[in-house]
Parts: sequence; structure tokens; C-alpha cells
Amino acid sequence: MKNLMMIGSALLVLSSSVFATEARLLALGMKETDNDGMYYIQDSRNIFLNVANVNNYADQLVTEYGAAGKTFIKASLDTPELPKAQGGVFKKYGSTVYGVYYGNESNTSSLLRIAASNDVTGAKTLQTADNQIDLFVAGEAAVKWGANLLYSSGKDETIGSKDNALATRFGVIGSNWDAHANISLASKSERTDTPMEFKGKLGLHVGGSYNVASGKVFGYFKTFGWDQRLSTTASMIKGDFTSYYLGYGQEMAVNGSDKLFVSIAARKTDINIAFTAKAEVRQLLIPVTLGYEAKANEWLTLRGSVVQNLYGTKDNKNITTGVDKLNPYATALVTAIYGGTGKSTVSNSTEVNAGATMTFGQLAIDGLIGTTGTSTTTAGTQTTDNGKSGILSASNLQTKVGLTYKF
Amino acid sequence: MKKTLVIAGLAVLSTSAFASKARMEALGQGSYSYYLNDSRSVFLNPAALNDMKNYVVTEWGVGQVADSSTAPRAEGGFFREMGSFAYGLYLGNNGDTRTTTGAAATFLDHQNAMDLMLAGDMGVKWGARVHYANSKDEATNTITRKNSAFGLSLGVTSGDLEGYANLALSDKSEGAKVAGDMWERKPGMQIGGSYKMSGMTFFADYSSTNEEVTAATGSTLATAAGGTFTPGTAGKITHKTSDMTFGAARVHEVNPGARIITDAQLVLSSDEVSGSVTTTQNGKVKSTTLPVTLGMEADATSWLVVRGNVHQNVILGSSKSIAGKTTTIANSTTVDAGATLNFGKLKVDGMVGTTGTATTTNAGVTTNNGKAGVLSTSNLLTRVGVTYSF
Repeated sequence: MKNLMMIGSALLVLSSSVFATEARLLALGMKETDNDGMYYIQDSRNIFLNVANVNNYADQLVTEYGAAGKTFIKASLDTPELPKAQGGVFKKYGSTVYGVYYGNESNTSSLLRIAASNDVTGAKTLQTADNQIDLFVAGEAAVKWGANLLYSSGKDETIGSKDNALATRFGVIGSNWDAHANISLASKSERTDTPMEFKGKLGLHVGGSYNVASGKVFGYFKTFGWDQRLSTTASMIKGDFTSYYLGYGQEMAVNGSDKLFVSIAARKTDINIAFTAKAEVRQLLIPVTLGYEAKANEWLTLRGSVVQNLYGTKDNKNITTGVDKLNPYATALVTAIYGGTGKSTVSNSTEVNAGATMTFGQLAIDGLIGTTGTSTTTAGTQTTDNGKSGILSASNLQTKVGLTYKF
Repeated sequence: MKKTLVIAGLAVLSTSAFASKARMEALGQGSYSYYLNDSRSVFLNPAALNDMKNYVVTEWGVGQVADSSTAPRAEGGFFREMGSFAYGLYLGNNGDTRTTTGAAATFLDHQNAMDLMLAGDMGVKWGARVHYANSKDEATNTITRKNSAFGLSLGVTSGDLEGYANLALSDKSEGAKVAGDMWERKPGMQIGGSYKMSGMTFFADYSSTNEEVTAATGSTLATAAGGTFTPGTAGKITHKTSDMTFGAARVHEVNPGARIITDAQLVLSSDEVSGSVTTTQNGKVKSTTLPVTLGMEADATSWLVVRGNVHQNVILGSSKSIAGKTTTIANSTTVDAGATLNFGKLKVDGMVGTTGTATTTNAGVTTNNGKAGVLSTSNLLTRVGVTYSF
């Protein structure tokens, strides 16, 4: 009996760790700007939230299909409709796991650079982080620990643009708790043909979770400050971003392979940019998430979720375009994520997602499903056919595809 | 005798295991059925929760108010047993739209709606559902627009007999073009019941709504969705609807994996407007229809269930306009089809027979859900709903 239980537990752990990629967590209701993981669902993507998770996902190669990041310089972030290419490999040597990952460019970083671009026509923007590389090292002593170094650098002398970013992550995982500190050490982007500049200050993303009953209480605090150049003068103005997050989530095993997920959380986000008429974002959301994941057969796993705000308000000011204001792309992006100017409840927040993993031995192909091939989205130079419309389409069977190979 | 019991058990099992709007619509039933066992039945009679629980359902679509088979709305929830009770939470069942109108004048509809359900069995199966929606917008038109809605549903099932009452207790939208504009729904109801006898189900349903739309001083409300009326300038209209349905249905179990359904319904409807500044809109429109539905549902394989129906008004099918002119309701024949992909505890429902040539704009996304009688692999299932039983 004991052996059977041990085998069952081992299989459970194995089946959890097989899954990976952004697509899985997006299908299960992840709502993080940087798609960097979830506290109460085990997934290899969580290495970007708490780097100590690298210990749980050694000896695998991950690739996320998408376009090269720089094509999105003007208008878009990494989204399910317009994914950016990224991927990496993690290998265990002795008791230490090492990893390298390319292209995990932060949406928050891109959003802030776009917001700091001062061309009122939106034709010219600051370069966003490009060709990013993340290096990982992790091990296990009394607790699991991990560390990461992020570096990104890009230059285009034809327009006089330069960008660089440097950050580090530290994380630990105890028996019934975990904690992380993700620190942005340097972040700078500038352009000289139309003078504009973004200069980041120390950024902090600290958080963790604690097992309570059969679930987890989790939370984080995220803050980042920066200076950006005004369009009309050489003077710099200040901006800051602060987010608080507190919630409870539970992952319930239905049997050896199926799971249910439920969570409730509160997220408060404040953003300020000190234009003459200060641009402000004030958003408070309390989303509830219900999700499931089931093994349909030996090679197919299906999952899905429904998310809705039990409470959601925003009170934003001066999210408008113009001189000494936001540029059009920034206005559109901020409005899409946090809502436009004014005070209101957040309308129509119900969101349903679905996804699937096809497992072929050591190879797993993840993707979102329920999208079709005929509605198109264009951003930057990219036109894709990933518009969601509630259709199971054989010609667009999976989107936001990620591939994991375990070795 | 034992064999009969086993077949009956399997039939109940296979029928009640299905769920989602797609199944109901493929069988010609609208968003729920008066006589078919389906998880959608909880929205008609919450006592049905006693028979269908321990599952999560998600209906694919876009977060919005309106919902149709070609432009579906995202919604979903879970239903779970708790001792001798069952409870459920359902998100996104937003209700009707009120896209009224006029220049820069729109009332808020139900948004982020939530339905809480509780059911139990005390010899008589009972259930209750509370519907709640609340929204506010101070950012549009420099006025405060608000909506709040509260509804209560009660239902019982005892043997072959069931009854229900769905009450819209309050539903008010304030502010459209100016702050004083108001759309207020007086308490409305839907009451009905059914009785099973000799393999047949006989059912009756009565529903009514009564709403007032007021254009405040300084406002002009042009036309309104949900009816044809024009409050005009500083005007007020009253809009009343009622529907009476009497029907009989039979589900014939051909074998444990296949059934044929038939139903006939006499539907008497009226739609009355008063106070519209367009005087030709004032008055009552009456219609009488006798739709007959012939449908089937069959296990094609162990992993595939196929279903469909043909539906048409028979003998009766006309409406009488405000001017007193009677017109036959033309071209009432409809055919729908759907399928369920079975993966053990997981079922993927959808409608089939749509193609990529007719397009619909759904919340800014242009989709290809238009029905055109084609079995298209690039549009394999539409209005998809996924149910996971645990």
C-alpha cells in the first residue's frame, strides 16, 4: 500500500513537472503582466517568479514559438495573440542545476519604455529590451535555493538608440513556504535622432507563499521608479510603478493526473508619470479563478479556466496622448491593460481560456486552444491569426505554442 | 427487468452527463430545455443542481454582455456536492443587453454578473439561485452611469413533478446621455413547471417583464434595443412583454447510446409599448406559434456524440402588428447540429455545420461563426463549451 502511494505521489510530481510553458499557465488563468508564473500552480514557468524552482525543472529544453522580440518595438508586448520567441535549457550537474534562457523580455520593462517614448505621433519609440539572456544556478541545501542574472543590450546607431538592462533574482523554497526577491539593477534606453531617454532606478519584486490548510496564501510587492525625458525640453520627469498582490489559491488533485484549481486574490496597481498633468493609474482588482486540468488520454491533456473580477475598479487620470503626455502607443497599451481615463468598475472581465498539451514521450507540445485562423491582429510588422472567438479550429489547433523536451 | 433498469440508468447517465449551451442549441432548445436533463437546467430550475454536480464548465467566448451562437460570451462556473447539499458559483451570466441609444447615450447593462446556487434533497429536491450584478462608470459622458440587478430563483422537484419561479427583483440602470436617464425593470417573473407521465413530459411556462425607460430633461433617447420604442426628449415609455408556453415532449431512448427527441410547444407572446414619441411604435404586437422540434442524439463512437434537430412552426405561426395586420412568420425552418468529444471526465461540446465564409464581429474580433451548412475542419466546433466532471 505504502509503495502504491509512493508511486502515485511520484507520478503526480512527474506529471506536474512535465508540463511547462506560458500557454499552460495562461490557459489556467494566469494574469501577470510578465507571464512570470503562479504561486499555487506548479509549473516550470515559475522559475521567473521564484528562481529556486529551477531545482524542480532540471534536464529539459523549452522553446516558446513566436516572432523575434524587436519586431514589437512600437506597439505590442508578448501576448497570446502576438507571442515573442523565447526558450532555454536547464541541466543538472551533480547537485547543482544550471540554465540559460533567451528572449524572456519583460512586458513591464517594454511597457515602461514605450510609455517613456516622447514622440507624440508614436512613430518613434525607445528601443525595448532585446536579445535578453538569463543565466540560472540553483541547488539544494537545507532549502532549495536559486539565483539568476539577467542581461540585455541592444544598439542601433542609424537612429542613435541604445538599450540595456541588468537584473538579478534570488529565491528559496522551504518545506511549506517559499520566498523570492527579484531586483532590477539597471535599466536604460535612449535615442538621439528624436531625443528621448528612459532611465530606470532600483526595482524590487519581493514575494512568496505559505502553505495554509491544503492551499497557499501568496503575495508580492513590486515597485519600480524611473526618469524619462520630456519631448519639448531636455528636462527629466519621474515615473513610478507599484503593485501589491495578496491571495489564496488551491491546487486539488482529483486523481493521479487530473486537477482542479481555485483562487481568489486582490491586486492593487498604482502608476504615476509626472507630466505637467500627472498621468495616473489606480486599479484594484479582486479576481476569482476556477480552473481544471485533465488527462484526456495517454498523450493528450486538456485544461481551461474561467476568471472574473468579484470586484474591480479603476480611477485613472490623464491617460491621453499629446505633448507632455503619453504617446499614442502608450495610451493604447495602458488603456488595454488598466483602462482609460476616468473612474469606473472594470466592465466585462469574464475571461475563458483553454489549452492542451500533446505528450510524445519526453516531448510535450503545449498551446492555447479556442482560437481561429481567420481573425487577424496586427502590431508592429506582425499580422497573426490568433484572434479568440470560441472556436475549436483544426486549422489553428494550438496557438502560443511551447515545446518542452526532457532529457 | 434488471436489463431495463440498467438501460434506464445508462440513459440517465449519458443524458445528464452532457452540458453546455451548444448541446441545448443543437437540440433546438435555446439556452435551456423545459424537459431535457442538462446542466443548463439549473438556470431554469435550480433544484436540478441536485442531479448534476461536481463539475466545472467553461463556455468559450468573449467577455461581454450579449451572447449568441455566432458571437458567444465567455462564462463558466463550478458546481460541487457538500454533504447533503450542493452549491455552485457561476460567472459571466450577464443577462440581457440594453444598448439604448441616441448620441453618446448608453445605459450600463449587467456586467461581471455572478450567480450563487444552493440545493438540497429533503425528500423533495429544492434549489435556490441568487443573481447579482453591479457596475458603475464615472468616466463616460461626464456623468455617473450605474447598473445594479438582483434576482432570485427557487425550484422544487418531487418525483415526476417540478416547479420553479425565477424572479427579477430589481434591475435598474441610471444615466445614459444625462444623469437622470433611467431604465428600470419592475419585478418580473418566470414561473412554470412540468409533469412526466407515460413517457411524456408536459410543461407550461409563463414569463413577463415590465420596464420603464425615462429620458430626463435635457436628454434625447432615440431608439432602444430589447424592443422598438423611442422615449424621445424628456419622455418616458413603458414596455411590457409576456410569453406563455404550453408543451409536450418525449425523449425516446432508442438504445443506451441514442435517443430521439420530439416536442411541440404552443407559444403565445405579446409585446406592448406605450409612451413612445414615434406613435406608430405604441401598441401591442401579438404572436402565436406552434414550433415542433424533431431531434436526435447518438453516440457515434466511444469518443464522439453527434446531435441535431429540425425545427419549424406548424399550423400556427403568425404575428399581429400594432396596426392589426396579421403576417405569417416566414421561413421558420431551422436545422442545428452539434457534437461532443468525450475524453473520460472531460467533454468538449460544440455546434457543427459552420464555415469560414460568413463573418461576425464579436467585441472587436471578427470571427467566422456564420452558419452556412458546411462541415468545416477549420471551424470544427463553434460555441464551444467544456465540462470537466470530478
